[in-house]
Amino acid sequence: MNTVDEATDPIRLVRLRCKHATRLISQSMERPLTRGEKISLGVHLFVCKWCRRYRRQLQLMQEMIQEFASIETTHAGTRMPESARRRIEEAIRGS
Amino acid sequence: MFGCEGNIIREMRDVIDETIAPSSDASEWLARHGDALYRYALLRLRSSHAAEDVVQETLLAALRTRGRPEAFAGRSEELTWLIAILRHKLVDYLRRLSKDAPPPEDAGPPAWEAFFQKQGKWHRKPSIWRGRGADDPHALLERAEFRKTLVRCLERMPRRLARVFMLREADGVSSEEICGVFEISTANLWTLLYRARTRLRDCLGVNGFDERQPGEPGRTKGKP
Repeated sequence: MNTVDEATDPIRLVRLRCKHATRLISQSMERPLTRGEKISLGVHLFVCKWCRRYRRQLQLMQEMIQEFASIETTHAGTRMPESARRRIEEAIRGS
Repeated sequence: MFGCEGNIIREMRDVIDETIAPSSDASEWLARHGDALYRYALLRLRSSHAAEDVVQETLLAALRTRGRPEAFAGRSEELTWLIAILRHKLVDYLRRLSKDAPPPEDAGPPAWEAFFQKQGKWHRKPSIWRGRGADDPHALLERAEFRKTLVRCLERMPRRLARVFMLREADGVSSEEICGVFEISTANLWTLLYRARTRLRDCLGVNGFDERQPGEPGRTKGKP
């Protein structure tokens, strides 16, 4: 097993592959990237339009999921099963 | 003897005073907000049984809550208050789950073959997402067809992965808290989120935006 994190291994960073670039893109949503990571990711994004798309689409997805989670609660049509409703009603009365 | 009975009666009256009136409140909450609470829990827990249990716990806890607002300005405020309780119950539930049965290391290889070649290059390259409102989350979500695709893609995610992903991405729960709830390391969390995002992006691309598998006929120019 390789114990060096591929995304931060300096030798890998020199020639960042899409697999590692995408990992850094995802991590940049969780933590500030190091200076070295920023530079190599920047270089990679400059030349790789697919990873640029990946990044844009991940950002879009994040906004979308947040909005979806809130409208899903108040507007969507899924209903609690009737059996569950009755069970909860009984639990409330028995409380 | 009498004193004793008096005590019991007084205790019973106390109990009755405390429970009878509010319990009808909980029935009203259930009638008014049961579905919304259920949907909230279902989207994050991905199990109808778990969602039902958590909604029940929420309503019972809401009854016991001291300092409950006397009156709500409106139904939406009442729901907001219930959801705040639900969030705690939901996280408690997941925490108990991790304690009771620590899940095995995520089973199986991440199946990167689907996304990346051995050398780390894209296998199926992300294409531009086109179509009405393709760069506007709000506009996308207004399309019923797209919402269905999104739901299907989320359902396709393994349950535990989806739970981690939703807490982080939809609710912005902190990494520290999520690591604590699921008993995982930060590095592990980052990997899970990376997988979830990559899978979801791919699923949306293919099913929502007509991204092509390699070798499939597509719109790509310049290929024989």
